[in-house]
Amino acid sequence: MSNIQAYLRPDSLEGALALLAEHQERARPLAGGTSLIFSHPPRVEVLVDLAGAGLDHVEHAETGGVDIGSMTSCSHLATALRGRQLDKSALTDALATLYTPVLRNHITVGGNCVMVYGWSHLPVTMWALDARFMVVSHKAKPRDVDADTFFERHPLRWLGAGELLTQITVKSPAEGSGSAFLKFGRDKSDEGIASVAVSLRLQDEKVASARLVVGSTRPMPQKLDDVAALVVGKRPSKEVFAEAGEAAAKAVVASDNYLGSADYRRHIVASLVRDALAKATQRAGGAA
Amino acid sequence: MKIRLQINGNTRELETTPTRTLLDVLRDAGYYGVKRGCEEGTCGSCVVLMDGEPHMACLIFAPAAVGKAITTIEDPDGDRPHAILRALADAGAVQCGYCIPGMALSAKALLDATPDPNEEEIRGAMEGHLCRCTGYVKQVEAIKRAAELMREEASHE
Ligand SMILES: Cc1cc2nc3c(=O)[nH]c(=O)nc-3n(C[C@H](O)[C@H](O)[C@H](O)COP(=O)(O)OP(=O)(O)OC[C@H]3O[C@@H](n4cnc5c(N)ncnc54)[C@H](O)[C@@H]3O)c2cc1C
Ligand code: FES
Ligand code: FES
Repeated sequence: MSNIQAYLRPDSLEGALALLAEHQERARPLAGGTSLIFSHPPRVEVLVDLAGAGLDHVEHAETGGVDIGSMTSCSHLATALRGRQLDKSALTDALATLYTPVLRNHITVGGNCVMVYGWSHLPVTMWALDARFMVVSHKAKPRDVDADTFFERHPLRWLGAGELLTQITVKSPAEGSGSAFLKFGRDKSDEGIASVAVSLRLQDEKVASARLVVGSTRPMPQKLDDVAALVVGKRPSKEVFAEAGEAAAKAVVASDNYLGSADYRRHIVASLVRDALAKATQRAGGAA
Repeated sequence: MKIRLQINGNTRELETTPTRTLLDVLRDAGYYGVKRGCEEGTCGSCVVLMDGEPHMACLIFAPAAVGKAITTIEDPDGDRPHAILRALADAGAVQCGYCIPGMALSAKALLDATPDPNEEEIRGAMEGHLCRCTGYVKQVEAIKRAAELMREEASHE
């Protein structure tokens, strides 16, 4: 028997926040439902469906960045990015390989970022793209949270009862920048054995800045600042990127599971980091 | 709790709990074309259209479907067999048939949005629909043929 006894669908964001504040730990927001349908969290008695909260929207900034309402489905976001500046970025790579097209109609961008699993695509990507997260609650000041804070610990561990992620902002790609997400799995849609997202900026034919996040090798993604620093200040080349790949394989924490051993995952990480850096460089207008 | 669902153009008042799936509720209401397969979002046999978009009924809390126009294979478009179903049958693309309702509905969503899809687009729309009997080749051919039939029908209207 499920502990969930009530299903509520408020018709505004304020209504959703008020219900979450009223029921506190006894309530959970419902987004795409693809995780909640399987696991009803203990002690949760009320589902607050966010479908009427007006959070399904994508707004493009003139400079190329994008504000994404947390209830936007992955397929709607992919459609909205077509032909835009963020088309052919880590974000569109991640959306295109996130399980199957029909599942992408269900999964929300907010739900994917909050409910981090080892296989999750968007936490890896949003962290590499240095996204910002708007967290709101009833009668409190909204919090504008940076990606380092958002993913440092599992968001469900630090988001307060009654707090909602309402918007994710991916800033405009700066001049000379590029990004890429790569996943290696048994097939295109399968859970990744390892995944990598990279964003970088080139200036005067050298890498001016870089961010690198590895996913799927353990339950939470890992941002490898020391590895990213290895390519900064250097001219992009196959050797530099291969070296970064080897360093990432050493630095990353990996665990064994049915898809592969920790050693195998590290081996895959080395290749993915090398290739993702090359792809991001190419998109930034450089060559490796 | 009671919910009102729009199914194939009709309003139905149905009984559910907050956490029953749309798959369970639809099958209990007699829509047996919504097939129960993996029940975990991996096989595609339970696909229905919601506001024209394919969704897996096993992944949806039934109350979350309120306000959406649900289409099941029982009535994709009126009384005569839809061009997609005729094309699937004519191509010999159906063996046991268990995967076909979900696949046909995803094909309908594709063809409504993209009347003349290329093979890559057809295969893309079929991703996530598992068929244990066929090798998918005849199904892809059938959807290509259905696109032609639907364009012909549209030009005669
Ligand atoms: C078969 C299958 C395969 C999958 N494969 C992949 C894959 O390869 N890659 C991948 O990235 N994902 C994959 N997923 C999806 C992933 O596992 C999660 O189910 C999904 O990301 C959850 O998003 P949702 O919108 O459905 O959230 P829900 O299930 O609605 O919610 C999940 C949790 O987040 C909370 N929550 C949701 N939205 C908010 C918000 N705005 N503010 C605060 N809290 C919120 C909920 O309260 C709940 O605790 C797969 C899912 C399935 C079923
Ligand atoms: S029964 Fe729903 S996807 Fe398999
Ligand atoms: S025809 Fe039997 S599963 Fe597809």
